[in-house]
Amino acid sequence: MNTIACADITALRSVPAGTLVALEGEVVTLRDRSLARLAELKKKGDPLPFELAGRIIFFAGPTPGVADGHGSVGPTTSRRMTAYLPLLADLGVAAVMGKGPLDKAALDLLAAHRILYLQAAGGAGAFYGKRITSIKTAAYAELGPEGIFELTVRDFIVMMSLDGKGVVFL
Amino acid sequence: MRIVDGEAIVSALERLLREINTDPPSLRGVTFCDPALTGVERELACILDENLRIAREEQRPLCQDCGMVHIYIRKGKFATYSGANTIQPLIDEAVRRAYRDGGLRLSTVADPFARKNTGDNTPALVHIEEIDGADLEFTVMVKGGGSENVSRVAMLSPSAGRAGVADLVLSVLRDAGGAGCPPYVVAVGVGGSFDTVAHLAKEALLFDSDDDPELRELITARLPELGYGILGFPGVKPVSAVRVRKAPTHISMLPVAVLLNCHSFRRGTVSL
Repeated sequence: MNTIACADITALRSVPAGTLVALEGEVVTLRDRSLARLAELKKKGDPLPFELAGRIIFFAGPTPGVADGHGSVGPTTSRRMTAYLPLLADLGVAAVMGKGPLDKAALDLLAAHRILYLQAAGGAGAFYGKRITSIKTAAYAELGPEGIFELTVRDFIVMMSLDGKGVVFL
Repeated sequence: MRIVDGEAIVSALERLLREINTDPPSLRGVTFCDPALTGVERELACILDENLRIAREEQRPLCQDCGMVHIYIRKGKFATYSGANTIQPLIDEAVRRAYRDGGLRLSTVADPFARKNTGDNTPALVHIEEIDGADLEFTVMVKGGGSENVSRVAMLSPSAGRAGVADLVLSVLRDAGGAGCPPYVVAVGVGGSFDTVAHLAKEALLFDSDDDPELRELITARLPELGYGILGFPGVKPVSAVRVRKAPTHISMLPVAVLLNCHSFRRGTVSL
């Protein structure tokens, strides 16, 4: 299995759909509440708490203790985030990562912006928890698991579901 | 009247909640990586087995979604408890200790629109069945949002029969795909009324019900139509078990609830 640095989006774009790859580097978590807040800021024209351009977005909410060797983190259902995909495209993210299918309109939107779709194994929270080397709260700590976290991952095995050529594997 | 110590209930439930989040009795001996699986499905199945092993050995939650807590109590008419006037505060104290103090994820919001986290994963969802005798038994299940969100209740016509129920189950499974973390445990409630049929499906999960083997077989025979397997990718294993629970219903009704559980089926029982 190929290991690819999260920052090396060019390499990630060359991975064909239907292939498992091991990510190494940083990803940023977002989910229902944090995305709603970002959408609200964008609507008002206010600055966002940090830059998301070029990042890999992980739809997830970790348990406590991930950095201390006893927590878990894994993907949440991607299609619940469909309403926020135009926002993420606007912000210039490189890839989104979650679990489960996306409908055609969502995949078309991602492909049109050259955003990759990755799927992590749903429900494998302990497996992925062990593959987090550090976790940093980036914003919205008051939202608990729905806050925004920067995770440093290694050997983080995920499936390419929408590749750089627009090919889909769901 | 037998009086069970309230603190004993709280500590037994706290222990059970920690156990079913990391090494539940319902998943002991379970292996996903079946030799019959091939390709990507097999690789993903091996990840699920590795997940079970890491959770057990390192006491990590099996899934980051430690769920809402569902508790089904069988309470003998000659059993009661000390420590509180009703059972809910005792159960919520156990949930608070296991989740807020025990490092499990807090996944409950107080209001469905304001969506502020309750901060301790309470309230638990409690159901009490009165039974004869003096036993006090708690069946506990934790269930995440992914598989709840792809479940469905429908009011069919009696003429739909088993074939109509199977059609509905297949339709729910098709729409769910990989969103709710297959292989699923499919629980089907049939009968009762609009509100109780969903509860029947939950009982089917809690007690491994097999009230209608003919319906179970009809559903099982049609699973290959789905065309997906473990975690929703192409494969052959979308479902690990089908449970069915029935109840009397109205002459004009055929209520059906299709409740899916993810592969991380977390359940345990304690008697006090």
